[in-house]
Amino acid sequence: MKFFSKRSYRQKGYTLIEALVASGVLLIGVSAACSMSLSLVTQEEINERSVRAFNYLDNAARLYRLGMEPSEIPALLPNEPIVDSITFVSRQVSANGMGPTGTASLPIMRITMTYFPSGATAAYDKDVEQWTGGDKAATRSEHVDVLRSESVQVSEFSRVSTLAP
Amino acid sequence: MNHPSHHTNRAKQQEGSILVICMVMATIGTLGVTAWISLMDARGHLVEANMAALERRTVRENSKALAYYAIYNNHLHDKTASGSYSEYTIDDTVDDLGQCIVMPYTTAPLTETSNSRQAKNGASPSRAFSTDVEVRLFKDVAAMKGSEYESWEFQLRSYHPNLGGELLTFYPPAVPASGNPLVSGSLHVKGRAVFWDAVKKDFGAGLRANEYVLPNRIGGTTTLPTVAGTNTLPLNYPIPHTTTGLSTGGGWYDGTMDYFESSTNTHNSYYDKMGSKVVLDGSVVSTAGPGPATRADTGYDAALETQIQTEDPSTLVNSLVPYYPLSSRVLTAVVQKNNPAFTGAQFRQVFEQHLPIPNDALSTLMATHGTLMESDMETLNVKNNTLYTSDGNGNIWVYLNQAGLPDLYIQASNTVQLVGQSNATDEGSAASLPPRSIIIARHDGDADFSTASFRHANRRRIILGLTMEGSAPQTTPATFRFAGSVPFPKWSMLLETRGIPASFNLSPVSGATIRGGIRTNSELNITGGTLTLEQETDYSNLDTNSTRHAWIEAYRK
Repeated sequence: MKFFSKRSYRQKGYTLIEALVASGVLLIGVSAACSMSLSLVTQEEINERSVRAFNYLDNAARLYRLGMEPSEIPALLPNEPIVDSITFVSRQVSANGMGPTGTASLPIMRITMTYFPSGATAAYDKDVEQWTGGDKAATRSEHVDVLRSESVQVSEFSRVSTLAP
Repeated sequence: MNHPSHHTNRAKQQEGSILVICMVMATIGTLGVTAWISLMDARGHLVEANMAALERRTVRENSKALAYYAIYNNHLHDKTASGSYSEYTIDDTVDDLGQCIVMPYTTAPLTETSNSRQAKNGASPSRAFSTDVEVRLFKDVAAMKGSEYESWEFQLRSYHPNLGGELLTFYPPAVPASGNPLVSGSLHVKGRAVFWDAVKKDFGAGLRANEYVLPNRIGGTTTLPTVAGTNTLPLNYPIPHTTTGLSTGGGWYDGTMDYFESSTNTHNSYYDKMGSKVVLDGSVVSTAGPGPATRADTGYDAALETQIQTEDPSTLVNSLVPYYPLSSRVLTAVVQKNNPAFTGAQFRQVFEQHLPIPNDALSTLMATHGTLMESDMETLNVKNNTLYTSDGNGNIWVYLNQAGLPDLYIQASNTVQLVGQSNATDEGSAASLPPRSIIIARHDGDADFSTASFRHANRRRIILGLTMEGSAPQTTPATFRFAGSVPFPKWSMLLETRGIPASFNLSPVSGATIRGGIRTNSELNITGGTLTLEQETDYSNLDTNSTRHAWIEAYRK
C-alpha cells in the first residue's frame, strides 16, 4: 500500500494554474516569435525591393552614359512596379583644370528614383510580390549624379539635319 | 525494500532530463532566432551597401567621363606633350563627383611615329599610332582625398583613315547646302566608305562599297550596293570623337581639314611634315634636274646663233652636231627659232645629245613648247631624269620615278602633270622609292589650278593634296584626268581634296584604280569609266608622312 500510495503521488498532474501559466508563457513566446518573424520577413521584403530599385537606378544611369536621351530611358527599362518615378534634372558643374581658362562647365545629370520599399498592405499580387503587412504607401528616394562623355560624334552636322527623308 | 527507493531516484532523474532537454531546445531556438536576426541584419547592410557601391561606381564612371573631357579639351589635338601630371576635378558644392589625373607622356598624339597598335575589332582603323597615357580614376568618394584609384590606359590613337581601311572618308561637306550629290558617277570602294554627314540620297547610283558607315540618323532608303552588286545595310558603328588638329580656339573635332598649311596646326600639317620640300610657284620658270644650272658660252656661239636663224631645222639637227655640247645660249636659240620652229622630234634629236640638259635651257624649252609638244617633252624629260619643271605660265610637270624628287608645295599653278611609269619594270622600281607629298594650293576666283593629269600608271606612293587657300569653299571643280599609254592604270596615291569639288575624267583610259584612297569634304564626280579604290598595304613612311586624325581608346590596366 505504501508503495502504491507513493506511486499515486508521483503520477499527479499539473494544476490548472500551472497549466494556465505555462500556456500564457508559451503564448507570449509564440506571439513574440510571430511578430519577430513578421518584422524580419518584412525587412527582407524591403531588402529585396530595394535591391531591385537600386538596380533599376543603376541601369538608368548606364543607359544615360551610353548616350540615351532621358526621355527614352524609362521606355527602354523593363517595367518595374515598385518604382514610383524616375526623374532627370541636368545642371552645370565646373571642372577644374580644363580648357584654356583652367575651368570648364560640364553638364551633369541628377537621376532621382522614388520607389515603394514595402507593398505590405496590398492584397497579394504576383507582380508586386507582396508578402507581409506594413505601409505600402511609404516611399524612398535615391539619386546619383552622372557625367557622361560624348565619346562619339553626334548628329549635329548641318547637312543631314536639313534633309527630308 | 530497495526497489521503491530505486524508482524514486529514477523518476527524479527523468524530470531533470526533461528540463535539460527543454533548456537545450530553448537554447537552440534562441541561437536559430539570433542567427536569423543576424542574417537579416547582414542582408540589410548588404542591400544598403549596394547603394553605396552604386554611388562609388557612378563616381568612377564620372571620373572616366571627366578624363575623356579633359583629353578632348587639353591633350588629344595639342601640339605638345605633357611633361607633368594634370589633375581634373568636378567642382560641386554638395558632393565629390569625380576626379582624374592624367599622368605625364612624352609625345604629342598627332606626332607619334614609333608606337603603333593593331585593332582587330573591325570598328576602328586596323593600324594606328598610339600615345599611351596612364590616367588615374578615383572611384570612392572618401578615397578621393587619399590614394585609392584605378589605373587606366588611355590610348591616344592617330592614323590616316585611308591607310586604316576607310578608303573613302568623307568629312562633313564644305558646302552642306549645295544640293549636289556628294558622289556621282561610278566609284567602287573595295573597303569601307565612311560618311560623317550624309544619307543615301546624297549618292548617285554608281557608288559601291564593301562596307558603309553612315553615323547620322537614318533618312530614307538605307540599303546600299556592295562592289559585287548585292545590297547591304550600313554598319552601325559610331564614329568616335576625332580630331584633325589644333585651331586657334581649341581642337578641330568636326572634320575640318585645315591640315595642309596652317600656322596653328603645324604638328599635323603637310606643309610642316614635308621634309626637304620645295615651294613651287607656277608663275615662275624653274626646273630641277641632274644637269648643271647653265652651260657656259663658247667662242663660236654668235656664229651658231646666226646659223640657227638661217638654216632649216632639218638641216640644223645635223649641222650643229660637230659643236656639241652646245652652250645654254645656243640651246636657247634652238628653242626660240620660229622660222620655222623645230618639231618635237627635232628638239629631242638635239637635246637628247645633251643629257643631262642644263636647267636654264630646259626651262626655256618647257616654257616655250612644253604644252604644245607634250609627248615629246615628256619623253625628253624622262630620259633627262628631270625632277620637275615649271613653265612660268602655271603649267607644272612632276616626274614621279625620280628618287631625288622632293616634296612639293605648289602655288599659282594651272595644270599639274604627274608623270608616272609606262611599263611594268619602271613601276616595280618606283614601288620601292620613298613616298612623296605633293600639295596644290588653289586661290579662289583667279584663273588658278584647273587640272591635274595622271600620266600612265604609278606605283610610287604619293600623297596628293588639293586645298583651297583661305577659308571659303570653292564651287568650281578641279579636274583629275587619267591619261597616257597604260589602259586602266593603277595609281598608288592618297588623294585629299579640301573645299574644292573634284571631277575625275577617265575617258582616255576607260577606268582607273587608286591604290590608297580618297579623303575629302567636297563633291566627287566621275565620268568616262569606273574609278576603283583599293587599299595600300605598304604603309612604311607613308603613314608617318601623312596627316592624320586622332581618337581615344581606353582600357583598364
